[in-house]
Amino acid sequence: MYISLNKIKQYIDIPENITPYDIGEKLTLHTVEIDEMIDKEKEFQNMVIGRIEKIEKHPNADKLSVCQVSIEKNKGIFKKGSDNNIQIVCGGNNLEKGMYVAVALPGALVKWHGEGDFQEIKESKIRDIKSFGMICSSKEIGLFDIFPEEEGQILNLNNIKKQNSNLKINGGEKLSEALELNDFIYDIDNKSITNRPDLWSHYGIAREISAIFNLKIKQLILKPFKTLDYTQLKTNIENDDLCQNYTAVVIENIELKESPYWLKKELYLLNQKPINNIVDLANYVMYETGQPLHTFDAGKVSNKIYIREAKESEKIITLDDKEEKLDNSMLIIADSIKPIAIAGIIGGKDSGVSSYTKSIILESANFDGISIRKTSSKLNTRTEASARFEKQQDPNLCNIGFIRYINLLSEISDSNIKIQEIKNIKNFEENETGIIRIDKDFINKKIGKDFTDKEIKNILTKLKFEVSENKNEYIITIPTFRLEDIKIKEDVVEEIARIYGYNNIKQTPLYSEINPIINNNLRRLEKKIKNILIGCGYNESFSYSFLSKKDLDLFEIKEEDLIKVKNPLSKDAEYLRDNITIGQIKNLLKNIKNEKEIKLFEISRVFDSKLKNKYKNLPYQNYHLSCLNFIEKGENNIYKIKNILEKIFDTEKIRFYYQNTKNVPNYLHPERSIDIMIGQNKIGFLSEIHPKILSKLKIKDRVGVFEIDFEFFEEFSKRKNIEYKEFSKIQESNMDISVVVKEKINWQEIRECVQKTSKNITKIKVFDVFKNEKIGEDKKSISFNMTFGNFNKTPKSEDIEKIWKDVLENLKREFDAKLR
Amino acid sequence: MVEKLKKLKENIENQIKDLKNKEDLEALYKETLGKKSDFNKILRSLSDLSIEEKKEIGPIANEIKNEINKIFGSKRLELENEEINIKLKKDKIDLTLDINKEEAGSLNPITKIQYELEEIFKGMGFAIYDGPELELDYYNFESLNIPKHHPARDMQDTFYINKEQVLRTQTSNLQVRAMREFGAPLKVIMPGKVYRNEDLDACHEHTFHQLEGVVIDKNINLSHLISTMNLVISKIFNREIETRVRPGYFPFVEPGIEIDIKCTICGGKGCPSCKNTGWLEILPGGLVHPNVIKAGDLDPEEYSGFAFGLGLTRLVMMRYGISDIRDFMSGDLRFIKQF
Ligand SMILES: [Zn+2]
Repeated sequence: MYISLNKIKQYIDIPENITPYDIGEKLTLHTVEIDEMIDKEKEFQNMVIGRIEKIEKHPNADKLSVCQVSIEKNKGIFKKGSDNNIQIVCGGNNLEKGMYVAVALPGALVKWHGEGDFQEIKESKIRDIKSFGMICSSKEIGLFDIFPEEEGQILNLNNIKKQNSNLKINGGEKLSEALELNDFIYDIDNKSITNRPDLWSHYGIAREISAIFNLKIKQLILKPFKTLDYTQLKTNIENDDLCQNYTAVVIENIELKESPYWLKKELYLLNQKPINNIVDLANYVMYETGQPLHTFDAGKVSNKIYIREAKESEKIITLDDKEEKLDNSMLIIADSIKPIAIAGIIGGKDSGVSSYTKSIILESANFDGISIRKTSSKLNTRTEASARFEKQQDPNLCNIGFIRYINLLSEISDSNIKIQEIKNIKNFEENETGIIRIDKDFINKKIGKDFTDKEIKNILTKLKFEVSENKNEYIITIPTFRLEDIKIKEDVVEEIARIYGYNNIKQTPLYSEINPIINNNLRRLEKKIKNILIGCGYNESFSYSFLSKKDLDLFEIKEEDLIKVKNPLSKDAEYLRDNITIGQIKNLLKNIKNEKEIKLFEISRVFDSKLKNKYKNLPYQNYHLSCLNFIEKGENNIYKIKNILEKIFDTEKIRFYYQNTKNVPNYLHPERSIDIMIGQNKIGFLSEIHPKILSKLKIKDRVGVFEIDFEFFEEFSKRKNIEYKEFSKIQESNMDISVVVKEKINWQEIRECVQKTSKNITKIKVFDVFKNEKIGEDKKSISFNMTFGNFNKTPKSEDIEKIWKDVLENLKREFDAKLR
Repeated sequence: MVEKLKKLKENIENQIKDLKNKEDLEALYKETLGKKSDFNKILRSLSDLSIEEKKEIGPIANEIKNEINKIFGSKRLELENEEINIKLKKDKIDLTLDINKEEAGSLNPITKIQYELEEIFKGMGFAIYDGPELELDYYNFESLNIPKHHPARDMQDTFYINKEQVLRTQTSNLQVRAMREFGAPLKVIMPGKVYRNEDLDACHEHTFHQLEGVVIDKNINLSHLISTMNLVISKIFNREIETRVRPGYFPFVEPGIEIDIKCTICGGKGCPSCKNTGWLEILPGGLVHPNVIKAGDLDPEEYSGFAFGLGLTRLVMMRYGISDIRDFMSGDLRFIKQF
């Protein structure tokens, strides 16, 4: 929301020692967030009014003229023309001798042809003729909305001079001063006034400035006016609870036309586009008082007006040419035939004012904020009116806005407007204030500073609260315009603290009891594992929690297996992922052109509605750990990642085993995929990516991945109690053995068989596996080394030999193994 | 005889000087001190002398023998050292060469700063708490004093899964969960991932990271909040940093504040990063709203507290001058490997 300082000055006399920047800073520190402060004077720097004294054809260009422009007052500063004039080359097709124009002198900022960024004017030569500035079109200086002109014309200020004798449109005057554009604008962040309906207006902001600087604020001037003793209008509110105040009046003898310059200028300064006098005035009063107003063409509306819920399938074409389907949750304004406006949001096109309008219905109402908000978000239509209504306006404001409109309309109308009798329905107690009682020490306890009674009363009074005392209690009366945001004691505390100034509160270090230690083992383990992975060369690469339809197609994932996002804005965020691996494959793809060796990991939540969950009423969302290994032309990528996997389990001393995967997802290699098991539970998988996915992605080499449920992993790491056993100090020894077994026997089975043979086998390490014709088809030779230890006394060679023979015996029995 | 021995010693000394290898040295040793050597012959001839003569010459002969042995010893050492040095020279390699090079990996800078902050807060007595990202509307909004159709829901574009479930838009979703789980006094931080339903560009991400903190105890006030936040800021930036406190609106705190720091880029003069204000928004916070304390099953008459939020993503961008917010989630190793 734009706030004009000149407008504020109509309500408050601001001493000269307070600069516009001071006001901006204090507003920021005490009330609202300001996005930008705009010094309009700077926007119009080095621009003056000029008078065209002489026009000659440019000798070298048909469409250009060489003008001598008088800028009398500035002649002392700027001498580069002939006589009192400066020479400017101009292409305008409406140049006339005696015309008052806007002249941009060197150093001024203009938009070339009204487009793009502002550029600085410099002295120049145009086709060999010197030009010491520019005669501007309204587009070039951003004033097109006030002065719409034909293409190719420059801004002619003669008319405006004639119509507004108060403006000092004379050669040499600063343009910003002559047109009264020398304002200072605060762009207030609307988010920061979400909770303050009273601040959505100039008068509201003025009230804050008056409190912050301790300056007097003037009352809004509301003048009584005469009305006729009849009205053609009947109004009827069907939903009392959704409309606290409805004021409407028919005004006859209207002349719809362009707004006067001052009104257009005010709207321009507030970044609004002038439309016509009736509409502009309604907007202006809204920015002034905060009360949204609406005007209907009385000739296009039947005499009875209903404020009611819409009927199912009723429709309206709105002022912005959208056809809206209404339903019975929406409050509308209707005449006896059809909807004429969506209450508090936007008017209907059919009932709007036009150049044929002779009389209008002026509406000033108060609607239920929640209802407005619901309708406005359902229709996805936000307007200046709905933004205010949805914050729940003070119903007492209707009257103020209403009178202000009529006062101003009388002022700007040449015709003698006639005001019919006013229709007013009120469903609220007028001028009803609120009361909050607060223990005196409550405020000091919450702020951490000892305020005196006087200080507290002083601050609250400046904010238009009334304060009285009763023993140890303040009794605080809340003004009507603050009832919406001051509801509890804490709200009053905020008022005291912010006006006093948060920066003035002395700081007190926080000493509090150390609370019972909440031990976050998951986070501890996460850090540890991440550090191990980094040590192994793996990089933490985040990927999104989302999958797109495209991903589903590419990786052949069934849609019904995933949780769907109801309202994704982007196509990339339609589904929640149930694995990290896909994200990491996508990350691999991003790096594959730059790197030959890519090692990635991520620990993040994944989502699955089919699995058991930890949080009540919510789907499974455990953290997973995913690792990916890719080395260009590397055949053993899968074994490298397997080593990483086992290293991680080993650091936590968690024992697990592999088991053939039953349901391999479509994106994994069905013959190179295995489940990671603890007890009866699958905790993850180790796999290569399916070759057909790789070829779709144009990845030429194999990719190894694993993914585990990290919370599951943490469970087991926590459960694992290390039981220390006295270890044997006797020297260990070791021996190799080579056997031939059927090819389908896997190493895990052999190792387990060897392991259970004797408690004196402390380590088993495979070192060679091969196949050849000599061994036989479907067979493989496997060689491994066993370490013997854990002895009570030094073993004899017969003891070792016996274990070795037992191993062989067991392997023979279980796998039909033969010694090689 | 003594003269003879001395002469022999001198001879040996002269011969030994020019020797270049161990074999020659041992051959000379054998020749000079071995059984068949002249020296031995002379020693053997001692037995022919009288007892007096033996007493006189014996010790001298022995001494000379020892001296000769010493000469051999030191020459032996010298030659051995020379030999080692030659071997060492042959061993010289280019240690700057990369053989089987293995690079270390990197953490995402978000994780880095998160761990850093966790350490800071742990040092101040805060525990670390974690909770769901796919959250009930109740914890993300309702319990935080943001009922359905509250205007504050506008500030955050929410990913809805269904009527009750949303992707959390803020780590504040854990405030009430933490209160219910641990009661008071409470001093926790909750770092994590949050989501906003936005289209991506250099300044907008739908996925980013925050760190929320809550303190609940008896008699907690604004003065504590501001003091604690200033302490945290100075620890984050590792120096005293000028701050300012101004009002801010968040439905789950009352009063609500924003803490700004003097722009770290322009030092307060005004630049695009601080939108020419000279200040950077860094820490929103406030006293926990009594409704939120109530939702946490605590009595707001007995307990009060403060809450604050830190944008981890923003903090990392500020610290390293990262201009494109999408880099964090890109997985691009050219980005990650720098941290
Ligand atoms: Zn800056």
